[in-house]
This record gives sequence, C-alpha cells and structure tokens, in this order.
Amino acid sequence: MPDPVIATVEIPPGPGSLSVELSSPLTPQALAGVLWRYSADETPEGQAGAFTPALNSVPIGALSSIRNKFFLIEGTVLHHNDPQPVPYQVVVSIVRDGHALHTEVPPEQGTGQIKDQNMPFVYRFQIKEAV
Amino acid sequence: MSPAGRTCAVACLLSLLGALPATKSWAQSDQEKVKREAIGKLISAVDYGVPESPAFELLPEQPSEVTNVITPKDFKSALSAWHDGSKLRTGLALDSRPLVKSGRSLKEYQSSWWRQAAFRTVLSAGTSAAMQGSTDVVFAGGIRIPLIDKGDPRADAKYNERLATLYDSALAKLGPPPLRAPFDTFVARAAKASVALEPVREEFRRSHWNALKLELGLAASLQASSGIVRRDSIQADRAGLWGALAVPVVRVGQLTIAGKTAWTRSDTSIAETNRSLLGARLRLYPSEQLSFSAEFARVWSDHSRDTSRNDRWNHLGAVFEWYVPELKGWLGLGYGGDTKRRDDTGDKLSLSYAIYHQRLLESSEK
Repeated sequence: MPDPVIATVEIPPGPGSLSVELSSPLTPQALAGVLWRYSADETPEGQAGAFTPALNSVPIGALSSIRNKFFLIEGTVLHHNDPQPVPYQVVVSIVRDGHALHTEVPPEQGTGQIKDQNMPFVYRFQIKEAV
Repeated sequence: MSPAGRTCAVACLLSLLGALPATKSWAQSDQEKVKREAIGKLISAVDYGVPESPAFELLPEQPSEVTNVITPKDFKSALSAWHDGSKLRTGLALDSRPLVKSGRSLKEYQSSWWRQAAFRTVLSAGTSAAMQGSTDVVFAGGIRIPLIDKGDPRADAKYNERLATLYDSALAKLGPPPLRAPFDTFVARAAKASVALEPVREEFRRSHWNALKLELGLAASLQASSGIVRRDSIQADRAGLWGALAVPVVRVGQLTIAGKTAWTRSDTSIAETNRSLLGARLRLYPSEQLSFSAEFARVWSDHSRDTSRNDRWNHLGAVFEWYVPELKGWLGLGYGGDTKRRDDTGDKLSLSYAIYHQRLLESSEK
C-alpha cells in the first residue's frame, strides 16, 4: 500500500496567527472533524481543535511555533438522508489575518457524492515558510 | 383506565362488533385479512402528496430501476443514450437534482428559502411501452418542487451543530490516529463515531415528521408511434399537475390539503380526458396505541368529447386504530368509500372492522 500523501504547504513569512478553515462552497454540506497535531517525529500531540458548521476555523498558532509539526484533519461530511446523491467538495484553507494563503481540496475523499452515509475525508499536512 | 376496566371495555366493544367469538382464531383468519384490506383501501385510495418523481406517474408501467444522475450534463448525456438511432428505448428512468449547486454553502442555504427550494427540486424522466406488447413508446418528463420544507434537516443550523459536536466528541474519545494510517482506518473510525449521532437523527425525525411542507409537481408525456422520434410520429399523451400543503396539528397530527389534475389525450368519446381532485386528510397519533385518520376528497371526471359522461363524486374515509394488549393486535374501525357515481344506484359507503397484527396507520410516518 503506498504511503499516504502528506502535503507541504508553503506560506510567505509574516507575523500573525494561522488558522485552518474547512468549507463546502459548492453544495450545502455540514462538515465536522478533528484537527490532530503531531511532533516532528510523527508522535501524536493531541487535538489542536475541532470543526463544526458554526466553528469552521481552528487556530494553530504562529508559523514559528508550528514549523516542525504535522497536522491531520480527520473530517466527515454529515449526511442528511438525501433521496438522490448530492455532490460535495471540501476545501481546506490556511488563513492568516483573514486572508487565505493556501486552499486545497483534500486528496483523500475531499470530493464525492453523499446520500445516506457520512463521508469521511482526510487531509495530512505540514506548514513551511516559503523561501 | 385500569387493566380490569380496559379488559371489560375491550370485551364489550368486541361483543358489540360481533367479533368476540372469532377472537381465538383471528390471527389465522383470511376473513380478517380481507377486512383489514378493506379498511386499508379507505385510506389508500387517494394520494394526498406530490409524487417523488412526477414523470413516472404518467408512464403506463412504473420503472423498476431509476438511475440517479448528478449534474445537468450527466442528465443530458443519459437522455441521449435513450435514443437508439431513430427510435426511443423503453424501460428507462432517471432522476436528478439539476439545481443542486444553487444551494451554495450551508450558511447561504440556511438563510435563503429559494436556495433551499432550488436545491431540493427533482427532475425526472422515463420511457415505457404504451401498453403491453405495443411498439409505441411513451416518454414522460416531470419536475417536483418542494417550495417549503420545515422538516429539512440541512436547513436546521442547531441540529447540524449538534450532530457535528457529537461527532467530534466521539472522534476525540477514539484518540489520535497514526499520522500515516491508511484511509480504511479513518472509514472504520468514522463508522464508530457516526453511531453516536443516530439517537439525535431519530429524535429529529420524530419531532419533524409533521413539519410544514408545500410541494408542487408538474409532468407531461409524449407518445412516439413505434418509438420513432420524428415530428409526424409524436403526439401529446398526458399532463399532470400536483400540489400539496401539509401543516402540523399540535405535536401529534398532520393536516394535508392536496390537489391534482391530469389531462389525457383521447381519440374516443368514452375515454376520460381530465380527472381532478381536491381533498384534505387529517392524521392523529395521540399515543403509541391510538391512531386516527380522516379524509375527504372531491373528484371531477371530465370527457371533453362527450360531456354527458362527465361525473363528480366524493371520497371519504375515517379509520381508527387501537392497539389492544390483551389481543396483541390492532383493532381497526373504518368507515367510508365513494358517494354515488353516474352509473351507480347509490353511495358506496360502508363500515368495517378488523383485528390484525400490522397496523395500517404506520408509525413510520412519524
């Protein structure tokens, strides 16, 4: 089985706290999930935050404090017992001071169709300063 | 009522109905099945809603399999596959939500009723042989627009927040997964976390079964002679229009007001060219052991080629069901039928009763 992809997100240097946002801009879907944090040797450090429809942004600290950390979004699209399948697309954004520095659709089930089962998706990443 | 009092009441009622001698063998009685069916017909003769896929209502044969297509592009390409050279294929059916992307984000959806209506709109199409053994093909297309649905779980911000919070808590309890865990691990964890949401989903369903709803449906069909798609081979076949408004009656009931009209092309004077219906139905579930349904509908049957055949009648039905623990079954009472039609000698109204295991006014509607 191939090793899962861990995205490297490069962002320009600068002050300010970073946050991770989840959204479903194309179709109205309720997203939930947990943002897990890992040390540089991939040891779990615990939960960095959780996502709900009302709280879709999780602060992760300044770039300097997360430089060697890994993150994993363990998310799901909550189903609504739709009689017909409905397409969904999840977008993850890395935001600083209200500006999205990076947006990406999770490669692991970030898009698909949903009907009457919750649809899990995963996004693994680390953030580095762009040179 | 005390258990002794209830037993006495049951015995008295059954005696009055003349059923007591038969109660020992009621479970096996075919006669009871027939009686139950007779009561069931009182509440199933008229449909007080808009069909899920209005197009299929106009097909001579209901499709056994329906293909769900997602985008308008898929819809168009699916339809083109129905055309076999110059002829239409039969036995095909599809439905789609063509305006699914108009819903936009969940917040935008929740704050706009028209986005909700557009998102829920269902387009359907199907083909069928005009009659058994015929080479003529009927093509039907239709649309269903749920204009208002206060029971739409997607539109309820608090409900979605509750689901998400519960899901997150359940995931947190499972602890962090390995960073490089395969995706299957997350599927299994999601399945575990999802279990925590089921009671909330069930509670929502139970508290919204009778929510305010307003729906419209429209469909039309064409008949292609020998299935040939050519201007001189195609003629209009049927058209239908449906509307239904359902309102809650306190927490235990629902009142539905519905209307429908259907036009049919006719080449003979005896065939009906239009049938319209306007009616209302009240359903009450005051407890797990009691249920009640009452309905009234006015039906118009028109024959444009011979108006002397036009007819009007009323349909009425009232059904009361009571679960009797002593009998481990349901006691059903029904009254109704149709009033006199043009060729009848009198009203066809009757009173029926039966004892049965499976209730007619299913609580799954709740």
